[in-house]
Amino acid sequence: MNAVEFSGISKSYVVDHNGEQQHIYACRDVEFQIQKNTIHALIGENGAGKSTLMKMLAGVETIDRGEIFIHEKKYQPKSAADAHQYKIGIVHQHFLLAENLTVLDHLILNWPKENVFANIFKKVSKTQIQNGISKIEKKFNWNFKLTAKIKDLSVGEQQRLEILKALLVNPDILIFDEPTAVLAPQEIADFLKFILDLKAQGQTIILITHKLHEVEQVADFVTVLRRGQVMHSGSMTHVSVDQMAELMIGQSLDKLEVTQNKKVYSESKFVFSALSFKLYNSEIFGIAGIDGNGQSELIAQTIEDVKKQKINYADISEDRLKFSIFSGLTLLEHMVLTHKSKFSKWGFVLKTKAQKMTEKLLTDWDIRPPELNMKIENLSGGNQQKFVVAKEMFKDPDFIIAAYPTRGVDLLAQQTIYKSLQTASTEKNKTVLLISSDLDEILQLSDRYAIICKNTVYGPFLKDQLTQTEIGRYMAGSVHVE
Amino acid sequence: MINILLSAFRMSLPTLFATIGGYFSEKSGVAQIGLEAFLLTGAFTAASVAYGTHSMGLGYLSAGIMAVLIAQIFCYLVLVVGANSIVIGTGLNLFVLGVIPLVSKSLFQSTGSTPAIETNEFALAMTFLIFLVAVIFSYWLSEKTLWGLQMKFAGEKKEALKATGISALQRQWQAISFGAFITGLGGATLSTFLASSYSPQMSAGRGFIALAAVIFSGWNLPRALIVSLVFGLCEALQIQVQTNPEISAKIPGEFIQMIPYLVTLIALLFFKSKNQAPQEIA
Amino acid sequence: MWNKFKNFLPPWMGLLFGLVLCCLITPFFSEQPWHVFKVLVSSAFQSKYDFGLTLYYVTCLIFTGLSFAIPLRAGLFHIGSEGQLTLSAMVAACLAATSFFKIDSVFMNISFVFLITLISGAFAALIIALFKYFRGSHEVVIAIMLNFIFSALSLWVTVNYFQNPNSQNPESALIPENLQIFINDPLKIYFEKSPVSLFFVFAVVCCLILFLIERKTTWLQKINAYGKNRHASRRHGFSELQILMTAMGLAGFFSACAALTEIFGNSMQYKIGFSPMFGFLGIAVSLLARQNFLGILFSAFLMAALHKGASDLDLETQYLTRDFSKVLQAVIIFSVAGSYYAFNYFSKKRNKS
Repeated sequence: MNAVEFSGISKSYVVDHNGEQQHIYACRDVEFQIQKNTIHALIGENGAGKSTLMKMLAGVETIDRGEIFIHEKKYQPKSAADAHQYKIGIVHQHFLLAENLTVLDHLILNWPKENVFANIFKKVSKTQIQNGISKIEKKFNWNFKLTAKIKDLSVGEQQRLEILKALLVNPDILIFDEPTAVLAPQEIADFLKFILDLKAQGQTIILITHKLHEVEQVADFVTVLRRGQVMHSGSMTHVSVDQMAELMIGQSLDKLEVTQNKKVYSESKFVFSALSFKLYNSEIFGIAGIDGNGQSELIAQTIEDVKKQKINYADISEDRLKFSIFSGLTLLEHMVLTHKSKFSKWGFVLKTKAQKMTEKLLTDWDIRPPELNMKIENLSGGNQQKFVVAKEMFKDPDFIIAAYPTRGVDLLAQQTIYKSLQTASTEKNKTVLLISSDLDEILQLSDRYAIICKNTVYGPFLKDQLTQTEIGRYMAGSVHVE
Repeated sequence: MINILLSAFRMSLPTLFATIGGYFSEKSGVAQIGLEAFLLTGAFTAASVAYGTHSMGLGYLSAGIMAVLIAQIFCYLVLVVGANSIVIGTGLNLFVLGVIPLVSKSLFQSTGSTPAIETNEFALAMTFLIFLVAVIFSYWLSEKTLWGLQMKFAGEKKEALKATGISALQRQWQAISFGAFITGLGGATLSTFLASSYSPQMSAGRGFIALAAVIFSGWNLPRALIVSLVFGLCEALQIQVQTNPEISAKIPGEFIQMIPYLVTLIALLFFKSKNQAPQEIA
Repeated sequence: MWNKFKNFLPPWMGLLFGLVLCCLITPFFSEQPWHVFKVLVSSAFQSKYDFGLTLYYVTCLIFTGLSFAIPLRAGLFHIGSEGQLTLSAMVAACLAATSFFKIDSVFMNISFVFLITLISGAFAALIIALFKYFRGSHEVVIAIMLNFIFSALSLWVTVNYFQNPNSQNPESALIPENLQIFINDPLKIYFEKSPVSLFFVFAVVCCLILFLIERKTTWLQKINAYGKNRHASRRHGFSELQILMTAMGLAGFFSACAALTEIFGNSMQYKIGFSPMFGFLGIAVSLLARQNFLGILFSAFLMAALHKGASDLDLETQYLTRDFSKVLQAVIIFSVAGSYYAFNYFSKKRNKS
């Protein structure tokens, strides 16, 4: 018997596109089965519909069309509570945790109620909760400090709390949405072991991820989504990573040229207080590390230095929505804002010049749709990031700081960005400081790299200097350097 | 000395009620600058009803209810229509400032003060009782019930609340309405306890001072009440100073009237608004 | 083209809806809706004097509208215009009336008074900017506190030092005759000595200039960008302090302009409480125009006409006093806010069918 069966599932959103309504399909006629007691990977690009599909399963989103069957029984959840009744739990990608409240608060909020009419004027007591979670804590060797505020917990601890919340309803089916995105290599290994454990205990696991090696390691079955539709669904035994990647994006990827070790470096170009070593021109210097180990401070300090030294720099920020993009402004307005000196004289905007150059930029970088007067928030994530990179590179900078440049970006845009960074360093002899949590990205692109952990930067290392295990240990902070 | 403290407590009653009201709205994630509207509504309703029915109790009850009704406009426009809470709050203040004289003219043929109400010792004691009940109930509701926790989540992380099957809108609507009721009671104390009739604009910015107290205390109910009390102390001092012939000769009346607002400003000067605001307040 | 126009339609529909709604509730006050509606919309046009009076309101509302619209572009809710215009009015009247600075030339004298008034308005508003930047305070609370403080301060200074000896009302002495240069300006004469003055022209010009600046130059870009995304604006290297101070400085400047309109263009003195809440009316003006500088010209006119109408209601009806104006404004604010929602709701319904 199948644990879950999707039949003709469709869901669409209406988006206001410059005053006109547009229908965007998150899922279209999705149809596949998930077998009981297996680890089923659901893969696809950002925006492929994986999260939406799972949210429908978890009762968090409504279903427009189609049916879901749980253990061959029709399933029409109207809320997360219904999902709990069907023993479905979900661990979200973006944690549903309130920073200022405590672990206990979250457990009380999510404590399963006996019935719908449970008393909202009573709170579950602390002791009751402690007793209730002790079994789970013992099983996985966890220890929760109930009075701790979420903002004081590490990312790994936060995730464990999310998992605990999901386990409270004794689920048969557990959904994990991009669980390893924020974990260190060691924690990732632990997590993969954990879900194998869960499977051994009889659970059905659905794993949403874009990390194909992890799928290779633990999944029994895989379903590939692209643009809301099922491209493939079946056993993992005859599918390779490359095949999965191709199905995900719909075309074969060019093999990215792995940059060779550089020859002799020219004299050192940049010295920053945040880094104990010099950066040379013609190089891509990577800084690898798990999110939240001091990267933001390093970036901020470096930018301060850069400004003080009056270097012409490009800033591809770590959070484009927060730092690079002004929602509400058009692409043209962004260009004029960033390049005031080029596009204005004595305060007056040189409109034709700005329009022409922006149009050229949009076509050169293949930004879709290439409309100058389109508001930036209407662009897809990948196009937004491409635009940010394009806009910054337009400065013809001597120094480029690229922080998590391909986060949430589709594979094709990713390629464009990688190529531009490589061109900048090789052909134009510029210096790129690449900060990323994606180890593959760092190793692929960097000439030299360092590893940041708990605000300390270890390195620099040459491309093939360290093994994956050694890198993992640096990232986890279990290496002591004199 | 005791006299001044007691006087401070009495003077701060309306602000204290408004502080509780503001706390519930803000904590649930909705900025609330419409407290003046609730205070004035409560004050006028209480004065009119108490005059008409000769019952203080009915006065208080109707004050609370009327404030809740006014709050529904706010809730609908902010929570359903999605309008900015500051805009609607400002509109609400304007609305009430305009409606009250109109109603007053129809009822009492004047836009000035309403006719005087007889007060008695029992009524005055009842006010303290009402306050006590309000504070204890509010604290219990906010800290000891699941409802209160859900309300806090509405202000901190709506998605987390939604995942448990309850919309933030529900809790916010309830919190704002409850807050309005309490603030309405505070308005009633203005016209029936601190005075014996309603006079135009008698709230004199207390609603904003209450909001400042909530913000200043880091959105913490017990602390906010204490801060409000301190502001009330300033008002009491102001009255004391005004009635003291020596001082009032040296310091002009207008300056003395400025004291509560000046003190609020100075307090905000020394207090750096940390990010203790509910994360998703709007 | 229609799409652009469509964006500006909702608030005016909202205005109309609010207006009608208000008239419909008048039976509760024993009045006739149609009569009320007629008075509201026609009162401004009944005579040259009436129209002139209306234009005086328009002038003040343009200024207070700008005072709200500019900080809003920076994401600031500025409701301190009322306090600033009160303070500036006091400064203007008292400075003009004083003989402390012995300036002979009328031109120099007037320029001096204007300059100091505008600076004091700007400084009064800058306090809010400084609190916001250095203390992270909520600008609404600061503004309200300042409104009360300035009100008390202005009262104290005027009544104690510059009280008009020829009157029992709390008001300043008249400014010296040689400084009353606008009392016979062409606009005023044409509209039969109503409160309007050449300041009206200045207000319109301000709107046009601001509109052109926003359209054609980069001077307001940083403020706009900051309003859209504070973090990104800091990251791009824009000085937050400069942005806040510019926005608030301009806001205070315009509040002071409203004060000058009253003192030098109308009463030639500072009458305590002269402002029928221009500061708050300005908010409605700005919201109606979606903070668009040209739109403010139209919305200021509309709100001024309605305000004139509402004041006349006081005389024309028994139970509707000038407070009805506040109710009208509030209902308009509500309707305008709701209009976008209604528009989206109805267009969604149309799309579905």
